[in-house]
Amino acid sequence: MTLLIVSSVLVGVFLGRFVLPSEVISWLDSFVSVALGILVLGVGIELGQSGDVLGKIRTLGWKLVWVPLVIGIGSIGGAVVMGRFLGLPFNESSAVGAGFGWYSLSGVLLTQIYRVDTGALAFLANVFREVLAIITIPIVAKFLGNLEAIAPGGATTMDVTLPLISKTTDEETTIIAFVTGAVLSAVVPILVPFFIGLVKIG
Amino acid sequence: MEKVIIFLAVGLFIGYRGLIPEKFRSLPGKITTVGLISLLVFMGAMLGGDATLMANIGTLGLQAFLLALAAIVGSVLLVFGVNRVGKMVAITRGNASKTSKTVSKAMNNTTCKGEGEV
Repeated sequence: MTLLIVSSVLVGVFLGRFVLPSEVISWLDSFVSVALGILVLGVGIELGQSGDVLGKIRTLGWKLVWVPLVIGIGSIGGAVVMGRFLGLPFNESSAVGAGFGWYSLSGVLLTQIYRVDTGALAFLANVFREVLAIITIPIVAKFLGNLEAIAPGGATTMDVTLPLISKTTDEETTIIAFVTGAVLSAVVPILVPFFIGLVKIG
Repeated sequence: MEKVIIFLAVGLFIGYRGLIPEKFRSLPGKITTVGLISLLVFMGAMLGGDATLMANIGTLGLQAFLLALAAIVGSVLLVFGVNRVGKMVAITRGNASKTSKTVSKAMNNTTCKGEGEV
């Protein structure tokens, strides 16, 4: 599964870079939307077939609180530690980490309210987070555990990486992953401006 | 984002109500596999076709890669740690209140190594 996932992404990058004409590239956004819609529909049907989802959410209670919280803290903490090694100021590394994989939003936010280069860094870092999540989720699920497998995806676990989590873990984890992704997505527009504003520019 | 919630809700409804005939039970699984692969190819193509992204990937790329990797490692390790502590707390509490159900459940979830660390 992992090999198939990685090669799919690489084939895509190759096609986009060298094969597809630019008109086709501009349609890709809609293709992604349609594919995502179908996928999420499939995941929904699978979850629904597994029984009483609302009842399960009730029994999951505590996990739905701490999993998103801990993933958020771990993401920002990891980025800050790495930022120190790279010589980045705290506000920049924490804001990049607080993108949680939502590259379009974190990149645009930082470009607008801070600096273009930091925006580009946040965009790329969160693109990498999504791509690395796609690669690491199956590995983490296999060797560490299901809840741990939600962590790499960050905010993307409510859409792009949700089908992957549903394929490599179980129904309970898929529900936790969706809620986690939704919670983290909701706080990206709050946390990114908050962290970048912690230090005055210049 | 709203679209995702709508599609998921429709899927949940279809699945929960059993609107998929028994004959096509394996269909949702197949849809997600085929859909996942095409989604990944499309996304890869979007990245590959983005000239600005590809031009910047050399200069900012390494920094960005390391930040992403660190964010993933940080979050995975923290979930792993909290999960572990949580299981130990469950055992301690279970023993204290003598609720055999919690104990047996927690025992099942915990390895000998985990108990040794307490």
